[in-house]
Amino acid sequence: MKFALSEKNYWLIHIFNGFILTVPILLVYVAMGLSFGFLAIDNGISPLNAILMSLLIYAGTAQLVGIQLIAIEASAFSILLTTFIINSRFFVMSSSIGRFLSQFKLYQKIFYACQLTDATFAIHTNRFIKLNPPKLELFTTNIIGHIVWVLSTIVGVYLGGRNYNFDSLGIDFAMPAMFIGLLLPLVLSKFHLLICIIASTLTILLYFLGLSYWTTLTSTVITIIIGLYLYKWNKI
Amino acid sequence: MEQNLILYTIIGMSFITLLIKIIPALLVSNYKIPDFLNKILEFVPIAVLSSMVIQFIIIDEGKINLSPTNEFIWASLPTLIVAILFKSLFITIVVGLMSIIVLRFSVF
Repeated sequence: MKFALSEKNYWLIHIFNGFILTVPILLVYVAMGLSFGFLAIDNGISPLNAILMSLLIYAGTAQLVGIQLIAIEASAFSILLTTFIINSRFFVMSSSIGRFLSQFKLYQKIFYACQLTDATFAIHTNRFIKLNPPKLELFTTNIIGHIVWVLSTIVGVYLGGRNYNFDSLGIDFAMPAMFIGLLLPLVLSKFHLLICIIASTLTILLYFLGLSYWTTLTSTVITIIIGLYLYKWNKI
Repeated sequence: MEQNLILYTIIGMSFITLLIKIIPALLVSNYKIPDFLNKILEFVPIAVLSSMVIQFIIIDEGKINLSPTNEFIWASLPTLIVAILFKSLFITIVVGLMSIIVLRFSVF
């Protein structure tokens, strides 16, 4: 027997697909959100401010570095500048995903871009290069990710100050493992593999030279310039 | 720092982050962009994710650690193999976590 859905029920499938796509990254979001919640309270941020950070900023690394800077009473200017530098990688991610958004209405583009994260960027790129995913599916992954990020921050805040340590459970490796799993499906040719190798080598080199938070953006820009040259070479 | 001042800082951080996320997407999606730029943007996901992956693995407390004492390098090997074989995010994360747990309880 075949399970049939009438056309007007397609939206249910799209939401379901969006949910399924998000499940693997939720584990990582929960782990990160919890530790952010703990650390925010440890660093003297009020519960409300900690939750607002996850709601309004929604960028893990910038939030974690932000609370440490707030704790040492850094100037507002240096906190904002650091936020800018850490999140500068979103310039390239937003440009790249923007290619696929031309059919979106203005408010949809803005809403979509607000909830752009490293993980949803990778998942959606993978979807876009294979087919034209329904908007509902894309927004479902974004919204679920954001809600889970805020909720796990709230739980972290209320458990905070009790100094849990999840590291022995390997949670600190959840992020690297997630990014390996996000990257690999995008590597479809030998040329892509070459891009990976160039980007990784440059990253090590640039970090060694002391670029710290600028490393990601700088290595990406240099890699795509080299990549473009190699690509043109191969063609001629 | 006083909580009100923290709130203003958070609003500033939010504003900067949102602008960085929104403006490029709006520009790229609203204008017809030249072919070579399209090609560049095609390389971006791989370049930016490779850079992030390698930083997660080799940077240990703010310093590069390429020595065999870096347990993340060891754990990333089975993780990478599983990612290539299955191309499944879920399996990759589970195997990654299992690898680091096995490493910590057996070697380090």
